Amino acid sequence: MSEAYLYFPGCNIPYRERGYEVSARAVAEKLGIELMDKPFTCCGINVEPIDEFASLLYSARNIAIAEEEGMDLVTLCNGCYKTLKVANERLKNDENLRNEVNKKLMILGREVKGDIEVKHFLDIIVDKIDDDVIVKKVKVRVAPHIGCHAQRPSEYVDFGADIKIDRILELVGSTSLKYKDKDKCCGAPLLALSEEMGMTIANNKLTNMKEAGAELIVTMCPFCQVSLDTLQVKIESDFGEKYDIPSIYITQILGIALGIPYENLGIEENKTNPEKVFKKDL
Amino acid sequence: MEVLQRTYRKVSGDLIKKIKAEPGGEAISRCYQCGTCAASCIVHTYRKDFNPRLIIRKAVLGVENVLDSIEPWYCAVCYLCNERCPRDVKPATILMAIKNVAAKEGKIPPAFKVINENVLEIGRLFDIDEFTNFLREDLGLPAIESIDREEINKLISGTRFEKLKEGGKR
Repeated sequence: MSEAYLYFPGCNIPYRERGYEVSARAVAEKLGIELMDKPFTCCGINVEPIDEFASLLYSARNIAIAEEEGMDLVTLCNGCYKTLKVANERLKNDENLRNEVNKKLMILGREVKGDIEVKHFLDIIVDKIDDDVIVKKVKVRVAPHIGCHAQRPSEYVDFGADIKIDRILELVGSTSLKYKDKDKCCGAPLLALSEEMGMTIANNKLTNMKEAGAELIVTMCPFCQVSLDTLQVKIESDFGEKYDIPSIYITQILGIALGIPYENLGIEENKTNPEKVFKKDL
Repeated sequence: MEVLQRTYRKVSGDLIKKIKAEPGGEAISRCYQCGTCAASCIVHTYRKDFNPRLIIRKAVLGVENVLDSIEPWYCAVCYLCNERCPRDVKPATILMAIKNVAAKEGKIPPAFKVINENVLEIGRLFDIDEFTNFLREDLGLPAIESIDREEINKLISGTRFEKLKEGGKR
């Protein structure tokens, strides 16, 4: 029997980071993972600063739907992952909180019992990849950006994302670079409040990646990709820098190595063009 | 420690009580002002006015109404300070508590209202309309179904979040 998960798309990916979804679905199919779809709301992350409890209600409704299907939730977005994972653990471990939330969910005819898990896509694929499934090596110097919410808060969110992304890059044939402030934020959470501050932080990250000699950036979160890919050209012009380091999703570089055709990985949806990096290998 | 050298007027005696009533808020009393949070903070690197240590100090002493300040909202919620805090204060969580207290009093920066307009109405940040679903279909992706608005209304009915629909005031 193949492995199946409920796919949690979040807000960003289906709307403006579709290349991540295209490549993840292609990789899942290749690795024998089935992804099922349901109408989910926002994970709750946007609501948290305004109303922590209402944020939990959004998370809980999504978790309840997964429980109704009897399937674990899998996310591509770090923000959704952190929010749903923390909510799920809190609801499992705090009976009073769960009862309080269920009073609201009951009105919708839903309930959280606490019997599913929330996982990041990276976590469910890493053990299915070995030298046997890799058909093409991609020899590039990669600056991986893991993103905050795949690593922190570590009392809830800690699946070894940094080790797992390095493991995949190694199997793919790439070199994973260390660079300054690697674990720090991409700047994206600040873009809504201050685009300048968000881009200042992203600029810092791009500078550090360039100094480490990166030919390619690999991300695993749509918010990070907006900072490092979508905004890269604007950052270059606003800050007077030249980076020209294409940024792609981990599922896109992995997809190439798994032998999925380049054009089936949604790479043309990205704003930076990684063709020059792959030309020598394709 | 510039805050201790200046003369501040005590403006807000019950703020600390309100913060402690929020999830994780009690930990604020453990802070001994070492500044590990500020030293770890990427936002503080580029915006000195955003200083988690100083925001916590002002809140504890009640010497300045941090609820009226934009600074707590500059936290990127990256949780690096939470990981490094030697007193397990979890500064990012304290700032989240402060934002929630401010929101209770209707003090929400416009940007945070704007990003939630769709979340309130349709349950998501962006509206996946027919056009977006057409683009998705083109890429071989399944259509995203909209969510029953009545279900969203019921879910948030009676919450503080719901009040945003009326302009964020209680």
